[in-house]
Amino acid sequence: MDDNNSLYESAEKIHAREVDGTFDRLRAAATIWLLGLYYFVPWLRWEDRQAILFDLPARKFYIFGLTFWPQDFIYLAWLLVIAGISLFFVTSLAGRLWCGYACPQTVWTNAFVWLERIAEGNRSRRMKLDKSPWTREKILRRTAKQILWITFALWTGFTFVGYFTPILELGREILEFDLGPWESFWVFFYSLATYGNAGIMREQVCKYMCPYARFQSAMFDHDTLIISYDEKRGEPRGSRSRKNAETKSNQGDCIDCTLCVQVCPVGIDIREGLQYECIACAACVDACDGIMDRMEYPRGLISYTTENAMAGKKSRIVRPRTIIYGTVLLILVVGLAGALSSRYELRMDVLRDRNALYRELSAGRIENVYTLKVLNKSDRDHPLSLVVTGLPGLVIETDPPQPIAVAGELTTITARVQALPAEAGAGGHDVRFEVQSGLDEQITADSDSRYFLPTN
Amino acid sequence: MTTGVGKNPEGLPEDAPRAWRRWTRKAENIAAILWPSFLAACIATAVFFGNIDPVDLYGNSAPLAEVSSLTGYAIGFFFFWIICSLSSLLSVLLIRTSRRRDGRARKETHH
Repeated sequence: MDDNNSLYESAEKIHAREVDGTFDRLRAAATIWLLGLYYFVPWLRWEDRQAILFDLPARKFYIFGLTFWPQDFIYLAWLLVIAGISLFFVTSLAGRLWCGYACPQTVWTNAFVWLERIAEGNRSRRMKLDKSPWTREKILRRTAKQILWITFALWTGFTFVGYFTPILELGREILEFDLGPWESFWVFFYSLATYGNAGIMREQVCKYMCPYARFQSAMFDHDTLIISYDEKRGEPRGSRSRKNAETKSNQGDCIDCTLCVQVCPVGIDIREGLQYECIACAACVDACDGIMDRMEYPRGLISYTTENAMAGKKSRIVRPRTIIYGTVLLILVVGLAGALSSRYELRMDVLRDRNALYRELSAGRIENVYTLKVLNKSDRDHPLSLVVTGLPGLVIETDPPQPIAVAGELTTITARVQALPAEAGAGGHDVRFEVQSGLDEQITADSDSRYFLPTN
Repeated sequence: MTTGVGKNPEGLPEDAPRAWRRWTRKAENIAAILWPSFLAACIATAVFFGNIDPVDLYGNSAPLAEVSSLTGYAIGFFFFWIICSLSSLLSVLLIRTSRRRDGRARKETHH
């Protein structure tokens, strides 16, 4: 066996140096806000149920007052398309904002690095610890880190499953050691994924596994915001002391302190130019601005800029690319809003009784039997009134006599429809069933079926 | 490219070595097989079970007659993941064994 056993060609772990600055504070704020949202949302209540719950066994998704059914799958697909186009739009405007601030990979990695820092100290202490033999201190610190990581990962997995199983119930089941096999499996699966991605793999996910990292450059143009080192200003780089900051005029502004490299979470040197590994977190901008301040040089040797701005041209925000993405996005969002606001509260399917075309009753009356399936997507009960049209003299009887479409449920109603052959005529006829809500006469649903009379 | 280590105003420690974690081809292959197929399986599962209730589906077939819907979703998901992995596996195989860009054949490996 040669080196084929290892999955790493080289295994030096990146420990990004801590940095303070505008963008770091923004990044921390985004991390806290997004994680807070993730861990808090399943605990929200809406009336007597969980506000956001994707109830897979019952095949119903609850989002505050709305209930979504499998028939509403189109909205989910639509939402995903909107998310995709939004990503394109933001990317064309501001580059990899998603990667640096909002991607779950980044957000959870930040959280895991914070925990690591609590247990193992700052960058140089962590690097020393990596190289140190297994002393008592190393064992203690590593154990502490693992306890923090595993607890956090398990809580993440528990929260994730809490979006699919009512989280209060789930919590009780865990406390009573009564968790179902699949719930346990998914809690551990998601915990493991979190631990692996944010604790172990980190930037490797972005470098080796992220498809967006590979195609995002297709959305870039010369007006897209990128993080860039001003080579003209910085080179030739060279170290110098603060005393002779001004005397060495043959040097560029880069003092070659390598802080920009040390703070980089993906381990690149931004001074080599834009690289696909760069997740645009702007840690190097913060680091360099701090040094520039100390050297009393102007800020912005590394900055958010555009290719046009660097070439001394004007950067445009409005341009064909952003207009196209923006317009498509606007149309999709307005369309979704419209579709959601006019979403039918009631839906009905009519199934004919399969056993008989018709039944003959006394006095020559003919009866056809139907099963009506009324879906009430809203969160209120609708008393229903039912009419059948299409033939003269139709009489309808339902079971139950006063049907109610129960909130968020599929209600089955049996309908017996009677007609006189003398009035209605022979053979098959198209008929239409219509239900109307007793709460609001605007809320209706209809469905077509066939009515059969003897052909004699 | 030199590592460009210099003394900075604070006398900070020199930069760490630049040989950051890098995956082997084997690790890349594993990720390229399992990860895209995982994403594809998620989409397939959502589309499939968005239209079909697993209880109806498995209720009709004798060997799986008594499954809960959660088991149904899980079976479906792993089924899709395996199928999609096979597709990724073939893609990786085809790309890794193709003639190289410079026209030279890849070294044949015999075991």
